[in-house]
Order: sequence, then structure tokens, then C-alpha cells
Amino acid sequence: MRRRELKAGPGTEVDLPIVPFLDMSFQILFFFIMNYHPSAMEGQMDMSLPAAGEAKAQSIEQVDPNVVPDTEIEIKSELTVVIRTPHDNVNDGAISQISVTGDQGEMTFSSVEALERHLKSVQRDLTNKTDIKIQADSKLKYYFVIQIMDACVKAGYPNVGFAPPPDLGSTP
Amino acid sequence: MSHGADTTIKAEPNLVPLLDLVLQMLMFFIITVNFVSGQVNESIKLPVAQMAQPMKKDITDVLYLNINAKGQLEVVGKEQPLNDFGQIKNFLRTEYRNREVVAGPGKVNTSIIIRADLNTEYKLVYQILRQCKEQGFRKMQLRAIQKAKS
Repeated sequence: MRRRELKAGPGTEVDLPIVPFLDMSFQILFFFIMNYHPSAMEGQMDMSLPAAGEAKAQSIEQVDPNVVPDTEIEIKSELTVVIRTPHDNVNDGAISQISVTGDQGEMTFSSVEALERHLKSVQRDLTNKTDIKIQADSKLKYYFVIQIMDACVKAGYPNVGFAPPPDLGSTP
Repeated sequence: MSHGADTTIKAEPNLVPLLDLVLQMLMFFIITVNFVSGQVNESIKLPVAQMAQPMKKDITDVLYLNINAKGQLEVVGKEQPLNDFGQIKNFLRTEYRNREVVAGPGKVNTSIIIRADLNTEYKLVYQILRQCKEQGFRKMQLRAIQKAKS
């Protein structure tokens, strides 16, 4: 089979229409610019919960009145960070006192940084080196709770649990 | 000096570099676009935490609980926020039961994501967490704004 020879002559000029393509690109670009809302990076803080047991007894015979219900969000830890807030209608919700209770008694700290340093220093003497509990007053603002939680995680306690506020009524 | 009729000058701007640039910008916006999710309330100011981890993309079964500064729970599908704790309790119970119907008894794998305003009281956050657990939810996360580690 003979190959067809191309004759030298007036070649066909291929013109790619770029302008409509550009128009469309500009429109899409405009749409994205209008919908561009750069927001702060949101992150997650995992909560530590007690091991999930059977939520409800399958039958009446299985109900044991002596068993602690598996609805608490507290975890078993050797240390509890207690945070107090004033009730003076001026600084309500702010931190007034930070203390740590454990086997060695109670220690009070002037700042979150001091708390973090203490938690780091006592960790090696603990049996349970990963769990810690936060107990805050009802009125304490969530911002400070997260601040303390952050300090606990930074100090090397990845499992942070929450204890009920001491001034919370018996029925939630 | 005059031009002859057969020597017309064709002035065509070169659009290809412009198109390249536009496509690059387009690519940037397509990648970084973050449409506001219906479940996430942007008006809630989250607290800042250095140890907040980047969000896991593989978690798909989630229930967002947005708690605003007034201490109200804002949820998808309800125009009015839930004020009363009884309403919150009923909502969580209904959500758990609905999810149990789909997943099977005791097999609900929903992650509760708490997005609480930084001015919310600890009491409310604690009560909601406790109520979630009481209803049967087992996985919970708190949301915060990631702060660069110093």
C-alpha cells in the first residue's frame, strides 16, 4: 500500500476559538470569588468517655440496682482539675481559682500555664498517666473550659473527661 | 507613506497566557471553596485551642449540635432554637431512635459534634453531653478553632 503523499499547498489554518472559552472561565471565576469565604480553621477535640457498656438492661431480671449507670461522662482518673468562677455578677464566667485534687491533696495555681507545668511534673508518679478530669462551676464560660482542656492535652493527658459541676442540682 | 490594499495588518492579542492565568485562579478557588454547610452555624464563635486536631474526613455519620451564646441549641430542620432542656432531651431521644431504626438496635455509630459558643456556660455543655450519653450516643467531639502552636 502506497503512502499518500502530502502536497505542498495552501495549508488549512486551525483557529481555536479561545474567546468564548475565556468568557466562560471568567464567569466561573467570578462565581467562585463571590462564594469565597475564607474561615478560620476548625479543629476537633476528642472527648474521652467511659467504656460503652450496655445502655439498657434487656430484661427486668438483668437490672442490678447496685450497678452505677453507664450514663456518666466522667472517667476514672487520679487527678481532677477544679475550676471555680466568682458569683459577683461582675466577673461571672471567668476563672477565679484553679486547683488540682489528687491523692496528694489539693494544690492551687495562679494561671493556666502554672497548671500545665504542674500536670507535666506529676505525670511520672501517676499510675493512670493518660486520664484527667475537669470539674468546673456551672457558670464558667466554655472558653475557659476549652483553655483548661487544651492545657491538659498539652501536658500529656490525651483523655480528658468532665465531672458534673458541684453547684449543679441533683436533677439535670 | 501609504499601505497597499493587499497588506492589511491583523492585530490579534495573544489570549493564551490570559487564559492560563484565569484557569490557574479558577483551580485555586475550586480547591479552596468551602460552601457553608447547613449543619454548621457560622455565627457561633468557637473557642481557640492549640491542641485541636484537624477534622477527620472519614466520619460521615454525624449530628451537629450548635449551641449559641444565649444557651440555645440550634439544630437542622427546626426554625426556632431549642430553649428548654426538655425540648433538647426530646430532640436527642428522637434523633437516637431514628438512627437506631436505620442502623439497628445498639448499632448507632453517630458522632455528636458539639459546636458551642465560647460564652456558653459549662453547665449547659455538660448537661447536653450527659444527655447524649444517656440517650445512647457514644462518640462525641468538641469543636474549636485551631491555633498555631507557639
